[in-house]
Amino acid sequence: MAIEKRKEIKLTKKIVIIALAVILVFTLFQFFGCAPKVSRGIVVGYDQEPSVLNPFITGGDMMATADVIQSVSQGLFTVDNTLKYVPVLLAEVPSMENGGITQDPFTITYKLKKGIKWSDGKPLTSADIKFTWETIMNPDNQILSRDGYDKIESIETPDDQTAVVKFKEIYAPWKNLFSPPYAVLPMHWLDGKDFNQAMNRELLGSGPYMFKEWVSGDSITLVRNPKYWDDPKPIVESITFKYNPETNTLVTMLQSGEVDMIIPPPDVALIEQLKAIEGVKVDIQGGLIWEHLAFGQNRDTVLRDVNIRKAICHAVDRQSIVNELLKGQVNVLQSIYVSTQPVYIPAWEQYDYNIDKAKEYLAKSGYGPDNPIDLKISTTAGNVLREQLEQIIQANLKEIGINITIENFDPDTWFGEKTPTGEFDIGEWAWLVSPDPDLASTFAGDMIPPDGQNYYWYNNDQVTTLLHDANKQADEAKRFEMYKEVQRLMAEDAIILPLYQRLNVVAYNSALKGVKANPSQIGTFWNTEEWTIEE
Amino acid sequence: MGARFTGLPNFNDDGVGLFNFFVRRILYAIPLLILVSVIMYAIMHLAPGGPLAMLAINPKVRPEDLARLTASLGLDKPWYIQYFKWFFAYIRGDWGMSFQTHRPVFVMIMERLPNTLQLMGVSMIFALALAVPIGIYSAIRQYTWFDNLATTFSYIGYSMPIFWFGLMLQLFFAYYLYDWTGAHIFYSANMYSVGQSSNILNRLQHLTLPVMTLSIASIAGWSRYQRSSMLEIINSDYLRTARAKGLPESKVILKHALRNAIIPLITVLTLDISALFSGAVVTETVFGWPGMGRLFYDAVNKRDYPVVMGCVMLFSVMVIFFNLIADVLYGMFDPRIRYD
Repeated sequence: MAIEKRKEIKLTKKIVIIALAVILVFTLFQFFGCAPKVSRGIVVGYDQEPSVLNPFITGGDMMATADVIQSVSQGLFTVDNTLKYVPVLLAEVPSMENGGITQDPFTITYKLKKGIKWSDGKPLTSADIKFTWETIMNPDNQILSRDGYDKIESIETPDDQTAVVKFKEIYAPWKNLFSPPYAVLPMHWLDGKDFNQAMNRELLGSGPYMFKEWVSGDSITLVRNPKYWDDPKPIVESITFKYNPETNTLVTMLQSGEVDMIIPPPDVALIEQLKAIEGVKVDIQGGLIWEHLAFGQNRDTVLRDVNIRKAICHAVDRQSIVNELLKGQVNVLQSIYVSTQPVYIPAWEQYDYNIDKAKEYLAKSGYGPDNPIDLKISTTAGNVLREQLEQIIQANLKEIGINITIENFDPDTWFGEKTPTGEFDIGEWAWLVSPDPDLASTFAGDMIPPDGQNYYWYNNDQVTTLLHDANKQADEAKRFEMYKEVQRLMAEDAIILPLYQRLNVVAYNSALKGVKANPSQIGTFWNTEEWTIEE
Repeated sequence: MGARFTGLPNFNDDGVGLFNFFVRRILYAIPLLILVSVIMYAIMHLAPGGPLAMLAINPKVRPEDLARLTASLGLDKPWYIQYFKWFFAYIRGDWGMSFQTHRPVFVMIMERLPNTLQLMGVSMIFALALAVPIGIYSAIRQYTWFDNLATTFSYIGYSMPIFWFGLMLQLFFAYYLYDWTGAHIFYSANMYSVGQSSNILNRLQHLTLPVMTLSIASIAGWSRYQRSSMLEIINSDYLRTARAKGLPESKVILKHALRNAIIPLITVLTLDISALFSGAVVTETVFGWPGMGRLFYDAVNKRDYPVVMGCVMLFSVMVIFFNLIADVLYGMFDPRIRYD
């Protein structure tokens, strides 16, 4: 037995020594240069991997796709971090004053800058604009949305820098056309190819970066475009997106320096954690996604009574919600637009947290503590913030005699089945708006599903008329006035209750300079040519 | 087919029995696979929503656009018609095109399969290398401190939440070690660092944490299995004879006992090997490993029917195949159990 014991000890010792040796070897390798030299490129830790690089077709409407292609593809305009349209490929913004916009018929003349080159050296011309339109309108291509492009009658290209676009009718949101995420397509590269396939795994653009490679499930790499036609010229050598669906992992990777930037979901506790990391800068801004309560009108409930809706609006303590759930990082949203948009007016400010007013409105319709109401609230299941929100609302409304039952569904059921059929009492979800204020498909009376996305079954003739007319109003000032009136009317109807703007959070290595968080759909990578690394 | 149906191969014939066995099993497998595919297809279509459901919140996509896209993907036909289309394409080797990426399903799966095999293969080998010695040692030193420790850790390891354990490993080995030493000893996620796809050392650094996470449950389970099967035979007559003959204990264990104790484990292992192909969703998610598990999970979430079907059929075929192998191996190793 003694011999056995000694053999055992020897064995254990051997194992321990080997293990230590292995760790030592790893460490030495790191210190003595067998480790990879980090080039002056950056690594972005990203959660969702794009399905395709083509933003026009099915599978391409993800933020993940937009973030990747933003540095590669360019459009006529871009939207900067103050939500202003800025010309990129255009020499000047077409307007009535400079003759760029004419009426009868509504025609826009685009003048491109001179010397624009694709990254393969070929020139970008007005023929590319025309080609883009033809590609979108081609019925063989599985295009997601032709909205706006189907209102174009014809495009003429009298010279390489000029495109004359004639419309069938006045299309007020024209600045969205040929702009991110829809870029101008390279005719010389795509002509003759199947658009449903050609631009899925590779990309040709005119932007400061070029697409280099895509390793499925792992990463996408962009490299600096040495032939970039514009100034400033990009400095960061490469941008690699590393894909990781787990937020905790992304944070660890940022902490350990494996990635230089992450764009995490705007969880408030996470923000505190990120701020505490040394050497990391956290950029927080209100985004273009806003959450709201929707009072469904399709079901025959008390919600069809405006008094009940107003009562609920007064009974929900929105400031408390923002303080508790979002630690006061955002303001209460007072309209269907976000406060940085020029059309915004705080139309819902009238609905202050006031239990007495709420009870008064209820009483007007004969409801109260002795005649309680039963309603359901629904949203997507599995979202902690929304679930907490529902519980606060449940408690708020109990005070005025409304009993709320929470009934949530998984996102596919909620957006695929419940909302498009108006099968909910009080619904809670978020909308993403573009910098252009057009909301006709959401709130116009003739846009009730299946014709549009008016999941509220909201039907106010005045609002409907204003929304449609605003799209035909070429004068921007007059157009904005119409949207302001829409907000006033909708607030009076109390058809929804806006809650708050979602935050946009970007956390990155503080050695990276030039990053400006952009809350629009354009995203964080709108100015990558301005980024530099300071060691 | 003169062979008696024992469900196991008959190794005594000149190979005819074995051949019949294989043929029988394959014939049973075919209707099973068809049934699996039908059920999977039906369930997917019964689930609410579809591949285009998320387009509903995109205000730019109008109802006529949605209708057009639905028709172009063939989704407007009833599910059994879609199933037949898929089925007749599949048996001709066409696995279909992904709704999301517009790429052939076969290509997408083959891209991920090597990654999964790497991860799962290394995990299995590592788990085996630890489980067998631990199991054996626990058995021969039953109820000593080692055995008790191993037992405790087995129970902990078996019930360990993989998600939490993976994150803890990341925190300690990827982050704290880096913070402490300033060097990247282990990486917290992905398969390799930027530009290091062919660097083996780098790959190992990335593999270590996910392998440790994955293997913990296997080590726990398999070591228990090994321990109990070893205990069953350790006091059997033939071993007592060997000891009486003067054979050193280590030879008794390693040369005679192990051979018999390992048979049940091999069976369990072979059945578990089919998991080599299905990957591990949670581990792959936490460690950002581009494997089959995540591919399948993402496809189910996005209702990417062709990819889901491709994955499910692959997994099913692998399960059936390895069940077959397990039965053959079992019959091969243990002559006693054949004529039950």
